[in-house]
Amino acid sequence: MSIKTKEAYGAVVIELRGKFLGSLHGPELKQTLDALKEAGKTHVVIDLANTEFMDSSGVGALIAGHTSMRKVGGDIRLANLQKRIRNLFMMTHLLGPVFDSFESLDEATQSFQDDPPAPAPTDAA
Amino acid sequence: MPTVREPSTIRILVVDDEPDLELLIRQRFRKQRRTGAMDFSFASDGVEALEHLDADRTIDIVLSDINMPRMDGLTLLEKLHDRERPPKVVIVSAYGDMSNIRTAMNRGAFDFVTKPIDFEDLGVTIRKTYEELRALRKADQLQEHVAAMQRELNIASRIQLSSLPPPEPAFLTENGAEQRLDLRATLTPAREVGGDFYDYFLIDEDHLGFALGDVSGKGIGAALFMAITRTMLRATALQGLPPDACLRHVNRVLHPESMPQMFVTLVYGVLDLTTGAVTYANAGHHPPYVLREKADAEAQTRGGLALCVLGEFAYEAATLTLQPGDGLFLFTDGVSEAADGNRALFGEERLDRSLQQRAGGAPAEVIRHVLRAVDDFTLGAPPSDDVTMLALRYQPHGNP
Repeated sequence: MSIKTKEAYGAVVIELRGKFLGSLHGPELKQTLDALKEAGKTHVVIDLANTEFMDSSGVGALIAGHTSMRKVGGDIRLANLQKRIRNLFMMTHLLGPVFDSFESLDEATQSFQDDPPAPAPTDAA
Repeated sequence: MPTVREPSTIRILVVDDEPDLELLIRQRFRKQRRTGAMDFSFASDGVEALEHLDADRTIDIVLSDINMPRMDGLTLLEKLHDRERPPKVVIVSAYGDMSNIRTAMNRGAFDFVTKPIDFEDLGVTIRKTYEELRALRKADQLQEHVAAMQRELNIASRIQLSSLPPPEPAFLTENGAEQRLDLRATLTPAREVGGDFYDYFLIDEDHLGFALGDVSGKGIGAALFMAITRTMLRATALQGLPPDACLRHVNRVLHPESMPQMFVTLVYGVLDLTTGAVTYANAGHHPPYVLREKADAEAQTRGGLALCVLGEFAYEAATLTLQPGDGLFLFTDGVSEAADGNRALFGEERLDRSLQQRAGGAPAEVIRHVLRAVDDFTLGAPPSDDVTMLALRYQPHGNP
């Protein structure tokens, strides 16, 4: 498992490569996201092209990251979901109500230009 | 974490039949004795040494000669070996007496010094031996600590399993509902405690509530949150709320209580025992299978968002009707994602197949069949997730 970060067109792309297990790799993702938030970089794309597997607590780590980015007016959007992970996100109904998902990195990064995230919600929810 | 008592006096029992060694030690280690760094006591042979050790369990190190009357040093070593937490033994041997030294080491002596004794070297040896002993004691304490935690976990595991309703309902035989329903459930946690659960209960004499769910993550955190979720769901359901409203309410209450990375997937449904009508709502869980006596198992359409992700979500209710002999099957991904030794997954296709083979079967038979299929596939590879299933069959005219 590796978590790699690069910047592209005003967004930050985080690539999760390998098996993403929440209990093992969740803390590293949280650190990465916290550092980005600190630096004011809150337009984040998670690239799942090379993510072989994600367990439920891995999904939980992404949800937590999404919640924390939304609180500061940013967003986490997903790109390149492979079949199994797509099924997991479809079943839990997370695509739509929570995560926007895109077929490619370009579309995902471009989406922040075309459709910037709504301002931070004023209530805690 | 346990702490190891320190600094402490090193307590040494010197075993020798020649009284001059006692005199020499008292002289040479005068300073250590005065400051309390070392404390010496003396015995004149193995028998006396054992008596002394019986009476004083605080001895850290035994410094023993080999040749002594009544019981020699090598026999003493053997006797000490059988004891629980024996002191470390340093053997005093004649210079070049390799054969006795080898025997002593093989019988568990920690080190040896040779005569004539170099007392500076003996001091170093005593300290080194004591360090080893301390490390061992610390490891022992850690092991005890781990064992205590394991006992706690086993208790938690028993409480968790006994907090679920039994795999085979007792209430069905109390009020005649067994005439109209057969139900079985199974839950096998991957670790001592887990985040899966099932539940079933009579809302009134004609309505059965049933639920099956999975809290993200594993271990104690997931187990505690599972208990909260199940209690909340049952309390809400027993007020008679329809499944969609029930999930909406539970989500609304649980969301503020949950950690940001935690979510729950579950199916909650109500079966009308007079008509076979089922209403259910699905929060991000595997859709239930309908087991038709005269048709194949079919997966129902997907539901709404997992619980505890957003504070507000409107769930939709789905309905279906069970004909006499039809059943429902609910499961967690511990079944569909059971892995064999090469990390290949059992998968929903295999689950489909094994359900189709038993679509008209009794719930106990359906569950047994799936468990066997999973077991045949994984060939005993240890499960990485809880394995949970609930099967029921509607039989308004009693057992077929």
